Amino acid sequence: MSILMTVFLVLGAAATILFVAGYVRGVREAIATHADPELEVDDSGDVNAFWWQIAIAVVAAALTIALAGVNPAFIYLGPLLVIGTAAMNGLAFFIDKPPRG
Amino acid sequence: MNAADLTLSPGLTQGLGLALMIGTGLVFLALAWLIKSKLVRNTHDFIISNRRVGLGFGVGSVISVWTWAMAVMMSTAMTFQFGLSGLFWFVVPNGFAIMAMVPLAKILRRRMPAGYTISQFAYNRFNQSKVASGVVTVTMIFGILLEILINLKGTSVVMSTVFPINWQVATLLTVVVVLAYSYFGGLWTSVMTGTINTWMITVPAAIVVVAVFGMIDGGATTVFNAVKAGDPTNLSIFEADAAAGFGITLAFGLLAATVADQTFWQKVWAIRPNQVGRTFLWAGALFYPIPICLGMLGLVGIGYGLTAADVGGDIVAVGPYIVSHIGLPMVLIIAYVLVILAACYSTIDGASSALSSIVAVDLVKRYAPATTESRLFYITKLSMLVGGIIAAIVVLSGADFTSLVLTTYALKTSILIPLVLAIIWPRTNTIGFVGGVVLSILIGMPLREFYGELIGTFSILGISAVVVVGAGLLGGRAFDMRELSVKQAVKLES
Repeated sequence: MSILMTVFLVLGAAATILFVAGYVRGVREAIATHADPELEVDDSGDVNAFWWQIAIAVVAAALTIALAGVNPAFIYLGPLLVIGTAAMNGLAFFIDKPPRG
Repeated sequence: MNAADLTLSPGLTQGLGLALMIGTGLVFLALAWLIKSKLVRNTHDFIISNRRVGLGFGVGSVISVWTWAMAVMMSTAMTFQFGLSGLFWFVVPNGFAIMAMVPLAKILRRRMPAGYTISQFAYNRFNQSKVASGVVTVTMIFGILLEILINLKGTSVVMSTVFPINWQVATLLTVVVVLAYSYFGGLWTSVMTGTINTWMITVPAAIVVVAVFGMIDGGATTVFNAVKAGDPTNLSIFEADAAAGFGITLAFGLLAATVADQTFWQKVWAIRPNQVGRTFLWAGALFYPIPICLGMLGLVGIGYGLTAADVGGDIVAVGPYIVSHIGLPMVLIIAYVLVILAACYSTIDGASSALSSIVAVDLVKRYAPATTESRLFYITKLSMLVGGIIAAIVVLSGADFTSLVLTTYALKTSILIPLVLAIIWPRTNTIGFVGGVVLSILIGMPLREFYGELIGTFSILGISAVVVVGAGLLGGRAFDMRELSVKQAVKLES
């Protein structure tokens, strides 16, 4: 097995652990809070200045694709980032702290 | 790199393919059973998860419903056909379309905190107009049916390319499997299985793509050099062919696909209000790497000099063909198949769940408000089965989807700007909304027929915008958006 493949397997495993830990936490939170009869309306914790974040995401995506045409090493950037997607999804469960009824 | 070097991996039997399809469904069925017993008490829970979906499940479920089986394969196919410019035009508008929901979702969630569907918004926004809300309802139903159809088709393409499975068997089995587990838990099942699917679409995809390059002597460098030697423009994102060929119209089509889709609006009202904007922002940004990663397989296809004929005539199959013919270990081929199945299952269960919310709120409760909760609950669940069965019949009949695709395209594109204006511009009125949709279809679709998709799309968007703005400026009063939170068309909580 190549070093590159080993690196990706390790990173994939790390992202998976974070994802599973987050998922389990999410399920527990859902079971604990799902029956709360109160209608939540407070959106004060939500993202407000989002346009610049959207712009950065769009430019970063375009740049990632463009770089794959500049140097072959950047072909692996997509697979690397997609592991980041799983990790960030797992992290999202820890960032979010639902109110308990 | 030579196409003749690619041969079908041994061991890809029909039994293995069927076991993967059924096995995934059984795992989700067990999860759905748990969800049903712990989280679902009534129709309100079934279609809106008591508005308790958090950031993690929100992000995971939005990514998974947006990652269609076809999108997984199309990212490879568009790179294969147009080079990196094809991937650029396929990917960039895709993620943006989800993030474009952020401002609209935040506005509607704040102004109508107890909402369920976008048709319900139209009903309240346009003074209980059944015409305006009916237009929106029909658009949503057509869109949902098309989502199910296309994903069924995508799955049948993959399963019949990788395994010796009859495409009709694959179609039928997909419907049975997805509807079986979706039936039990509704939206909770959709978001929880969808989030698992997001993992299945991401980590295994990365490993498979790296392994594919690892099967080639010299890896990415060899592929890069082969692509460059064939046609260096395939390594540029600035080629105009892809933009003119599909990119610009796709960009607007994708915007309509999110803004005019109950699958996403259902989540807007199901996610806790302090996470709505963040969910769509994260989902859009985190979606990007998925098609970028899988798009790299398109470069492998170019490097090998594959043709459409080599992969069975349809370039959508180029990704599955490479993965099943390059000599990967069986476990990685299975991982790739699971990527496609995950994309397919999550989109279909998300669409079915959205259909159930439309049936409950915009059909049963609007036209038969006296329906009891227990009866409504069963009708809501049955509607998912009916939608899936109709879609399966259409696919199995071998009927041409063209009419359905065109109708859905016309409705979604024509409703995009009127719907956005209805949300952000208080002077938008019923006449402008309905007139904009109808006139843009009546004038824009013939223009599309004669002058092509680009001019047709711009005509539909332009006409709908002019009619809505014109009627709004000529009309009387501005709508008081605060009325949205006061009006309560339906109440499903028990």
